Amino acid sequence: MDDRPALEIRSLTKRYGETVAVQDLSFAVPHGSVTGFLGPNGAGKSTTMRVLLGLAAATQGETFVLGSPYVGLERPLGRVGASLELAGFHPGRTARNHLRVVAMQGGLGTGGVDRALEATGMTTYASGRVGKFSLGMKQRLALSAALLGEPEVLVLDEPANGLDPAGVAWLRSFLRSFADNGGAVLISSHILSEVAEVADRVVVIDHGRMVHEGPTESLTAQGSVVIVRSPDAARLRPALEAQGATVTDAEGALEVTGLPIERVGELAARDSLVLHELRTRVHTLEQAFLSLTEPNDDPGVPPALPEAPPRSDLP
Amino acid sequence: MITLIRAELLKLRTTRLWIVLLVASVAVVALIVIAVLASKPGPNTDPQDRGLHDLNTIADVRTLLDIGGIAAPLALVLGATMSTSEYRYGTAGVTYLATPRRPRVVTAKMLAAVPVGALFGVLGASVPVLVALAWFATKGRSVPLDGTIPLEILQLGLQALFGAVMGVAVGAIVRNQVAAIVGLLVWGLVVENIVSGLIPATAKWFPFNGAASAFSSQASDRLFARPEAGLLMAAYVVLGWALAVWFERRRDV
Repeated sequence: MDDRPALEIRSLTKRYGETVAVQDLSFAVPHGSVTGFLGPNGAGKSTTMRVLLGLAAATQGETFVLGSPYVGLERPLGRVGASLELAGFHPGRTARNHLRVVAMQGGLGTGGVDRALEATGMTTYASGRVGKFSLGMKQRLALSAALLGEPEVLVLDEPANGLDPAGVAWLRSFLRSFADNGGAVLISSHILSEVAEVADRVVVIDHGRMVHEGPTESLTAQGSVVIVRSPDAARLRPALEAQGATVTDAEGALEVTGLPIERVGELAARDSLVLHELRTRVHTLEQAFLSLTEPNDDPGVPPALPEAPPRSDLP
Repeated sequence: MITLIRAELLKLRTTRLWIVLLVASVAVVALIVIAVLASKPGPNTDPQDRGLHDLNTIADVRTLLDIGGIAAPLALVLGATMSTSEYRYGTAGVTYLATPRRPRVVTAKMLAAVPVGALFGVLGASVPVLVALAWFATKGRSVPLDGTIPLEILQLGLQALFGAVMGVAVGAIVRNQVAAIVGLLVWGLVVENIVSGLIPATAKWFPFNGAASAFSSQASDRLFARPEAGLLMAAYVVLGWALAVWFERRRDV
């Protein structure tokens, strides 16, 4: 297999006039994995994907798909399948004809149209006009188009929008199987739970900037706090703060952030302080996500962020 | 490129607009021709118009053929929608994902407009002849025809295909469907005529009432010799293609 990542974004900045949509964003999507691309609405996920796919020009930085800019790929639909939010359909065209057009434009031939319809459960609606489709059916059709060329990479922008629970379950299972067979998936969502179950890694952005990157489990680690209960809390607190921890009162206990649990225990032992409770409270994924992407009144200023883990996969 | 042209033609064929416009153009031309043939000339009727009622000469038939020119603006509209529909319905992203090299898409659209425009023009110009043949057949007489009539029909086809191709280019430049269609029709039907009236020397340089009219069946409409007019039309097509490519390449989709 190619050593290069399937998708690579290097120092990408995208501005629309004075508005900075994406700022100095870098990450890579390896083969054989599902990468969740997370962030609230307007965070810059769709813009990043559009630049990656050659639909919008980068203001600065570079993007690579299978080692090449997307526009440099020969017959790209045979290598990369993409489903973009707000992907268009002519309302008067049938589902089958939409795929026939896409296939012909992509130089694929129309032999795979029925297979792609079947893969997403759209065979029954093949002759229906897209203008009468629900959002969920349009999402399935967009996925059919992405699968037409039997690609090795999928770039999916909010693909679960409008899907019913069975559709979401099918999507997760399909993506897991796709990645397990060596494919690479970049899937965006503003709802963490949609992708947490299937994503191996997550990239979280807010206001166009990276706020977290790593294995999905790392999200909860980033948001964890140490709970310590002690009859000597009045003495323990300044000792912790002297080590740089942030300490808050919480229902008779202290909530400590900024120090690992082991260090809290060591400090208590050093000062011979009695502890009644010492544990880590792990944030739920949603809590961790929200703590990373807190609303900010000034869109030009990103919230205070935990440091992203060091990157070793980019040259 | 052949595959891309076929894809563009498939896009057209899998929606209804083209057939609606084609049927409309045929119906309108047929109705006007029937109205002309059925009306009774008065004592003050212009001699040329009087000839339209009787169709006694080849020149009369050529004059009648010009009614088929109505198809050209409709071909122009269809050409514009070939580009602007991509933005109206958001399919431009799908198109450029499949074919990221945008100049190829613009080229394919303009080439696909050639047979489409020609179909509109040839069919539109054929309708007056067919209606006249049927009309006078019921009266037990024939219509004078010679080898120049098919040539005139092809020339009207050329005018319509030019309109369709320019429609594609302008649609790609303007992107907004309503603005492109209204702008093209106002330009061709109003602006060119007004400016030509005010500054007659400019008339022949305009794309539709100048260059393309060199292929009118009426000698009085021809402001250019046909070879020169053909070159001017080609220059307009190349300019339209270059501008359309320039805009499409710089556009975020």
